[in-house]
Amino acid sequence: MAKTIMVIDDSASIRQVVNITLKKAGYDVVEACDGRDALGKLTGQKINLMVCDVNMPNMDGISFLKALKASQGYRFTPVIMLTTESQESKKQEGKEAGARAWVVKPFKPEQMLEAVSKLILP
Amino acid sequence: MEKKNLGGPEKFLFLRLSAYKKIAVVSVFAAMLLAVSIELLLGGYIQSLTGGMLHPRHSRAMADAFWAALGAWMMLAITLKRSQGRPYLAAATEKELLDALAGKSAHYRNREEKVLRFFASQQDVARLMKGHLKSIINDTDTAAGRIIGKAQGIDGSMGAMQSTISSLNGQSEALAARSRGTIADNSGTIKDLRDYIDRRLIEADEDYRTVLALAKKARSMVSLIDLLKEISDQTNLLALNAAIEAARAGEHGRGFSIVASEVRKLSTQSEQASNKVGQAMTQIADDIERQFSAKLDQQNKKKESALFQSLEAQLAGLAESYTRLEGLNRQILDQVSMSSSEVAAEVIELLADVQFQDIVRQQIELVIKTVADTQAFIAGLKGCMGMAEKCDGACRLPEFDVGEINSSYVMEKQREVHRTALAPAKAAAKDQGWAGTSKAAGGVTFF
Repeated sequence: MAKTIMVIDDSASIRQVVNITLKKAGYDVVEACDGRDALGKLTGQKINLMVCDVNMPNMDGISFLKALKASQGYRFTPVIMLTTESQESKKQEGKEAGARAWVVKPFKPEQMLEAVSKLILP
Repeated sequence: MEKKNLGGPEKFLFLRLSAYKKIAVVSVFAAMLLAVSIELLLGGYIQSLTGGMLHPRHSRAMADAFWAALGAWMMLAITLKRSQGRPYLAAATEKELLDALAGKSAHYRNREEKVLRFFASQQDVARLMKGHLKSIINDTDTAAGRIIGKAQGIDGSMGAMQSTISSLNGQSEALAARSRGTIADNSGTIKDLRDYIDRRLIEADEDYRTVLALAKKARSMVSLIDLLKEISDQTNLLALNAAIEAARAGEHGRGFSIVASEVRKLSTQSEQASNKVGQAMTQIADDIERQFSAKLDQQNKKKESALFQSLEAQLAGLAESYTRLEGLNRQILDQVSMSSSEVAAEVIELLADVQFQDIVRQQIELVIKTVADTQAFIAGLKGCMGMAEKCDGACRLPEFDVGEINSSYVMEKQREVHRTALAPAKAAAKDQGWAGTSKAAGGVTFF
């Protein structure tokens, strides 16, 4: 059975690009347009990994990450932050919130797939 | 700026001076006159105060200093009055100054109104800019979606092509295997046929020799017929002699004469039969030779053999051509498969490049935010200008800080553009460098 990855980004084009990249590698993909939408879609289904943007409306990536780590069901789900931001202070903020990797846009598909295969839960 | 003419003749320099300057000049001259007229008295007073300790020249110098200081103080006082907007006015020039002030006030009021109108237009300009920029974001978003759709379509077509190629490869492989079997079978059949024909050629040669021998034997039987004919002639002669002897014997030889006559008849019949048999044998030999000579002709056999060799060569050439065709077919399939794999990889790269739409969107969104901030500041400034009450000391509005935009950046590219754009003119001249968007990939950091 294929593993499921949730992609959270307010940009439809980024969601599509990540979606296609992951689907071609054999993963199932669930999409959400921001942190709040993502929390609403976490209804007990098995998510093996999340790819999350940082700057989003309604609920940004760091706030979502904190909410996720405080939850029971998904606190151990690995999260890869996908953002245009490359400042060390921001990366540190993501690390402290519980992110497992920080991918700076524009990403190369092979970089994303390498990070996913390294971190995804069995 | 046009200078206001305060009236009066202009040939004297003093009259062309402004009211403040006239006051200052008059004050200085008045001070000097007072100094000249009272200097002696004051000098004497100072002299008396010091009890004659000072030299009279020194006392006068002190008086000069006093009056110079008084003159300077008066000029300073006038200047201060002027700077506070309440000039020290001589009664004669008050009206003129008030008129001048009224003119300037009207001028500044017009300017203020113009500035307010400009502020109002800036609100519209800001709305326009926001509208255009949002339209650009929407357009690029739609275009990105369309590019992704098309790229997916190409990717799908490539996938279908690859599966078709894979299927064709399988079919081609099966066909090639079958063809190789058929070619091998053909080779076997050709070999069998070759053996058969070689055998048939040998057999035909043997048949030819047999038939020739038969014909020869048939012809040799003609000599036997001649022998029979000779026997028959001898028999006939013998019968004739027997008939002569029978006639000589008379009555006793009558029976023998009949026998001799019958023998002669038989001899004649035998000769006739021999002739007929001889003719028939010759006819048979002729027929055999005529009938089989064409079929068993060695020249014909060579022609047939050559034809067969040609057929064999054609079949072998056909097999070789088919093998080459199969190789070419495989090459084409391999090439198409490789090309479609490359196209599929490039499609993925193309999709990855669509991320720049998101990067550009965020850059434009920051510009929109900056425009909104500027708009808000202008609105505050406009409100402040419209207020009747005056500022108590410094202006309460904070300064517009361009540096604050820095805190809103979400990518290093924006900070780089900020640094370059606000750098001195020499750096700004190289604006080509930061006008575009870098294509360098971001990188991954694991925690």
